[in-house]
Amino acid sequence: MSGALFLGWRYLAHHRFKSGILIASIALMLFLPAATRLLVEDSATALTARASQTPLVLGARGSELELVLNTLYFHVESPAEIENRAFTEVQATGFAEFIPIHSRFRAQGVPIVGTSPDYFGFRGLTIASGRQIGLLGECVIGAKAAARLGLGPGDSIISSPETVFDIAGVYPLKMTIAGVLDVTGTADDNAIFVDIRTSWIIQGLGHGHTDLAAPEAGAAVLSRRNGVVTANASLAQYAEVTRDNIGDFHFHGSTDSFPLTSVIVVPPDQKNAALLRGRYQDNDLLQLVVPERVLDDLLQTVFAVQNYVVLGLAILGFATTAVITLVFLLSQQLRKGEFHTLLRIGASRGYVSLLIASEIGFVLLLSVLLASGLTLVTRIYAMQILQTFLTL
Amino acid sequence: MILPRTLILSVIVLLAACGAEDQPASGEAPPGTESQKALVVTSNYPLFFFASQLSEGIDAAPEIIFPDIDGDPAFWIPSAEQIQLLQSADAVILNGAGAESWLNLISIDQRRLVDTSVSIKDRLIPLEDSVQHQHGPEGEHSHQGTAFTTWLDPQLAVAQARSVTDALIELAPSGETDFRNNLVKLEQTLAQLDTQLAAVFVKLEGQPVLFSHPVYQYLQRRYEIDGESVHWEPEQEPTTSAWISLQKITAAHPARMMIWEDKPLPSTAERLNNGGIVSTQFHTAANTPAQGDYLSVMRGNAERLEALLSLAETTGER
Amino acid sequence: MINISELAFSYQGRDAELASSFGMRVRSLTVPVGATTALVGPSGSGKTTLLGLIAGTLRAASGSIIVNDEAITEFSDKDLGQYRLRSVGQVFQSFELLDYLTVIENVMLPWYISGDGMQEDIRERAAELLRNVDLTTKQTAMPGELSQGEQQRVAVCRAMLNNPPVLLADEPTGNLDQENKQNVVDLLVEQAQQNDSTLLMVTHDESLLSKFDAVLDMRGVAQPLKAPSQE
Repeated sequence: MSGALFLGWRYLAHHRFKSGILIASIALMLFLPAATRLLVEDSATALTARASQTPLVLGARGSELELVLNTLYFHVESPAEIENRAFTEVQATGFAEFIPIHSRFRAQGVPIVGTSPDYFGFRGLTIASGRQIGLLGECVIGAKAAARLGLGPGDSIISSPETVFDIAGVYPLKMTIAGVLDVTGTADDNAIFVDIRTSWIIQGLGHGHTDLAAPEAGAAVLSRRNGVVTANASLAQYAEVTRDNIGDFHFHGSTDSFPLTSVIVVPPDQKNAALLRGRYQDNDLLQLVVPERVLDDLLQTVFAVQNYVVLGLAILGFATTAVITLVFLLSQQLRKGEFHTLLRIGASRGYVSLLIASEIGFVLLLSVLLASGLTLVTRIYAMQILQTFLTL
Repeated sequence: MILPRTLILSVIVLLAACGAEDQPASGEAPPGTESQKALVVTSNYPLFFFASQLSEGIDAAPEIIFPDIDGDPAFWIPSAEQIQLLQSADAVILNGAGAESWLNLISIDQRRLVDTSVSIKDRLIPLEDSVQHQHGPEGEHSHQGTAFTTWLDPQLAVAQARSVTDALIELAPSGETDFRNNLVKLEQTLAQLDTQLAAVFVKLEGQPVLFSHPVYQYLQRRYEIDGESVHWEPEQEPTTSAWISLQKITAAHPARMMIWEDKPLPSTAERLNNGGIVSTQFHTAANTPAQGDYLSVMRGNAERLEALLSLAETTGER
Repeated sequence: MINISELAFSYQGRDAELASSFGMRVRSLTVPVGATTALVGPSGSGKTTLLGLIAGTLRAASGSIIVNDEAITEFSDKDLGQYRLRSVGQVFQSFELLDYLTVIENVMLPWYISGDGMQEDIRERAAELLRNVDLTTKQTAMPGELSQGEQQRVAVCRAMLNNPPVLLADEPTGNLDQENKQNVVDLLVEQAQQNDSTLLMVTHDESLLSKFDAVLDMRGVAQPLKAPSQE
């Protein structure tokens, strides 16, 4: 029997190319459905992990999915905004920890997320190089965004205007990168974080300019009357916050009316969570959502699609099996002479059958091993694969 | 049989590993205890002084730091390193009342901030002469708010010291009794200072004085000093228009004394003297003094003023 | 010794015409032990068939074939396989080496089929056979790397692996040039003589006949056999 196994193995080894194609085809047939399931499950896990780490999100009433996606993944363009007042009022209740989020602007395609220092502790973000945000106008950048843009501590990045002809207020702000964050494998790797007030400066709600009370203001002053100085349109505003001009930066109006895109709410217990949810149940302007539930609905759809994909792969698998069988049978036909030689030398028909079976066995074994290996590698690197292509 | 023995050994090792995970190494205190000293950073020198006095002799007291600030802390913009220090502190003790304009310029966890002016909010003095400006559709706005040299009034200083005490107790609860004992001592000391200053300033009753800078509002109010402020820097020669403005002021407010934050230029002092205005100093102690501490500086201010007023009495000039 | 008596054979098949197209009868044939015999005759005279009957790859319809006291016509298929492995060495016109085995592995092929004996001993035997035919340096070569003469020498070694008492060669020189023909036939005769094997070799080449002890013309050995339907 070992002779038949030996001959079977040598045949496959000699016809490496043909054997390789067979093994690869079968392995792929086995691997693809497994990998599909694995990646879908892992992406679902990653999605739900980030969602389950975010107990509640407060935002403008409307699409729950958009609210959650923008808060968790900074994905949505032109997100609905709420007033900062909503944040300060709910913060005063003391029912939970509240973290403001303003995610509307981008710099070289990377979302700029205005928030408070609490966000970093909440998400477990640590500094890989450089330091945390110090002054307004500084930012920290996620690891992947930094690598992609070739930026590091000390470099600058300019926020992008929302539209080319946006003269009204959203103007480019040059931000100094204070630090680069450690890799987290989440959407935070592809974001730029600023103090919430810096985000408001980008939006034009705060700015810096020459002190109008000073004589140097000169031509920028339209009038000085009754202790009120009125500036004209020639007043140049600083496009960058520096140590020299930071004292000149200020906000107009009350910050209560300034915008946020959402507030992350972290209640200490279910009781406080319930109190908060009751508070916004009938609110016309605001909604408090549970990200995990919102994404669960989305994932049901994803799983349904996955099933169709796997079904398609299974059908493809049957077709592939049929083709492989045909190829195999043709191959046996071509080897009739070889089998005849073996019979003539003294091999039994059973020996020849064993020889063929051993070849099939080896191919299947190697295919299963290859498929298992690929599945294992996919298992190990699933998150990195997903992060490369999906940005979770 | 080998297999069951291997299995049993594996289970034992696994359980031991699980059990060992949460045990601290010998000599290492469990997290959350007070063996690690908390860090407190104050935004001006007087608060540093109060916090240090309150922490005297208490092992569990936090480490108190006042950053190295060049010049007046009111105009301080922290460096990157100083911002990191503030961000890493367990508590940042603020004077409040608008003293820390830098607070609007940095990113810091608001929960770590202790505003010692909250308890004296209703006793803060709003600033009247603020310059407003407007541009665009947002309308007018002003950059000034309230006077902030609250520590020049020992009674307000006591209220601030109490806020500091509460913050220290929150960080080191085991030292509560000692903190409160130290507070009693500090209150007594500040009360004595208040008495001393009152005795000095009572001699100025009814007499108008000038202040070189509008930083003495709380001193003025506490001791009912009839004063007017100019904007003169001790190290700079006043301009001609400044002298002219002074003339206008003294026409309505015939002051015979100008109180400076620091020693003025001899030429300025001489010219003032020639105009019948004697110069003296009342250091605000906002920053770390070259010598002494908050108390010695304030007592020195009182003594200096006392000596000048006594001299004036003797010579009959007043 | 090979002894054939009253042997009748015809090709069975679904095609009755084909079946009726070839059948042969051998009334009596004796080949002495150790004799080297050339088998000649026109095409279709049954030379290959005779070798197949002696090798046991074809079954006679009736009669007996006794090879060294073994009545192989009584053997089952399994026994015939064992018989061929043990007692018959075969050399074919088209060499029929397995292209995916090395030279020495091809020589050891009968062992890979039977599994009898220790691998080291068999490998040594194969190496010795290759040494005898000056192919030691080509032990690990693949058949495709050898010349036709070399391939046929390897085939001869394979046939001789188990020291078979019977050596059957069906036109082993058919695909060789003149020099190699001579060499291969010399090798076969030499191996047969050394091992006291009975050699039966089919050939059309008259220049080789002088190397054999006897020449057997199939026209004198076998008679055509009518199909059962024709009788």
